[in-house]
Amino acid sequence: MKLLTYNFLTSKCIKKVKVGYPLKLNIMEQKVESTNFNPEFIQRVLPRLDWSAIKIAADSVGCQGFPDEINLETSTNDTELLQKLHHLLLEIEVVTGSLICPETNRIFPITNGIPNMLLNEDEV
Amino acid sequence: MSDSEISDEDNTENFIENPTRELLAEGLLSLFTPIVENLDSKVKQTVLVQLNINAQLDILSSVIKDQINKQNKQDTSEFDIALRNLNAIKSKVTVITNVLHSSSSSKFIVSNIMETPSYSHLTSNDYNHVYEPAEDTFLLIDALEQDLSSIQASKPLLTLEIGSGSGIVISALAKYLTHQTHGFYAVDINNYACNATKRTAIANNVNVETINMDMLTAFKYNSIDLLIFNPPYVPTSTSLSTCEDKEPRATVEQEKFYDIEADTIFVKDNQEKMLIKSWAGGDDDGCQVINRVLGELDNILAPNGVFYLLLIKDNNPEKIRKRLKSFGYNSIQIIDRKIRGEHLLVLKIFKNLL
Ligand SMILES: C[S@@+](CC[C@H](N)C(=O)[O-])C[C@H]1O[C@@H](n2cnc3c(N)ncnc32)[C@H](O)[C@@H]1O
Repeated sequence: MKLLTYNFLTSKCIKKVKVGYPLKLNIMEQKVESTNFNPEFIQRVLPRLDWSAIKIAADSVGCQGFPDEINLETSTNDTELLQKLHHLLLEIEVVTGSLICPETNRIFPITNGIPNMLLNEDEV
Repeated sequence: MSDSEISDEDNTENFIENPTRELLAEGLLSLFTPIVENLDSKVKQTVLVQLNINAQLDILSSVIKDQINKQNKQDTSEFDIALRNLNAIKSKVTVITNVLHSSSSSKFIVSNIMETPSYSHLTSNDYNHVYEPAEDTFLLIDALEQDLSSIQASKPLLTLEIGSGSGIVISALAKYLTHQTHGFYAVDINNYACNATKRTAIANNVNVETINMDMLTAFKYNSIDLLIFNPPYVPTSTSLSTCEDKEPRATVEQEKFYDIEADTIFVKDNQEKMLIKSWAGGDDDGCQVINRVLGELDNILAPNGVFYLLLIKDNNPEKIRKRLKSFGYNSIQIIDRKIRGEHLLVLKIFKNLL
């Protein structure tokens, strides 16, 4: 699981959970795979990022220098920030770990890079 | 360096940059297309022949059963005739199997030119757990290929396939959309399918993020620009359940049993349940799973999102299109194909007029 994916996952599907976002992130094994920097992709993905999740992701992998808030207008031309985001969102693969519902602490395991977001029938 | 000193290597580089390369590629493609189409129809014919064999084999097995019964009554001359029949059919099968073999291997070569993703890494054992690519799979790939220029023009940021199974549809798309290397997603309710999808993506050198999930229940709303689904579409009257769902009972020793009262098939093994889930569309014209997606579409698609949905005629596509219209979606049928008893088609569904 790339950290861009983490930005899009929620536990709102659990019964009685109100927001279910951002999930807690627990990384046990990770690897880095470098890919070509495509600034346009990051620019276009920017408005869809939830900065609270990005901060958690950056903290979990020890990526520093992300601002507390994001200003969409200035950020699109901030090549340094775009490059940092590229690395954080697309180059770090979580191989093993878990995602945890912030409200119920329900654990969703990540194995072989695949998050398991399935719920039992009595949980929905 | 003077012009005369340009090495072969340099020339090759020039050639790669050269616009004539595009022209050449186009020319080559137009040369190949009729061959591929021809081959395609041949393969289809052979598949029909294969079905014919299957039917013959069925007859054969019932003949054998009869014979065994009769043999028990010591009737040997009839048994000899049946044995001769059996040998005749056997040799037919061998011939046709050989034909099939050579046709599918030549199709494999050609399909590589057309850039169908390779999935030879998946084995028959994988297909005990995962939906094996079939005519529906290839029709969906053909539909996407046919619509490629409009897909490219719409520049989807997030492309997601629900129920990716082997993973060849989303890998094909990731391969076709060469300008884009990220933003491809696959979800499947079957964990084994998720692993297969990941393996297929890696084998084809594309990035596909894979999530084990029921529909998009754990995905942020309104994120998907391009949605693809080849759903379980076969109308089935009975529902399906694992034995664990019910009180253990004496009959559970069997792999499967049918509860007449509940009109439910109980399956012992979860993997088998997953395989059935890959095609069984339930009642309501086989639309149980399809209807779930349609009902959630407003939450799934990003503004201007587009949805490619594979259906069969039995699903009553006109009714589905009316339903979509009622909540503001346009839809067009972009391709269809009749195969065996199935009439497959692909709908393109979108909010605004494109
Ligand atoms: C007809 S198969 C298509 C597989 C593959 N996309 C193809 O075209 O060959 C349907 C797939 O949908 C998956 N599926 C069924 N119900 C699902 C659900 N509720 N959520 C996610 N995937 C589901 C099945 O596991 C299966 O892999």
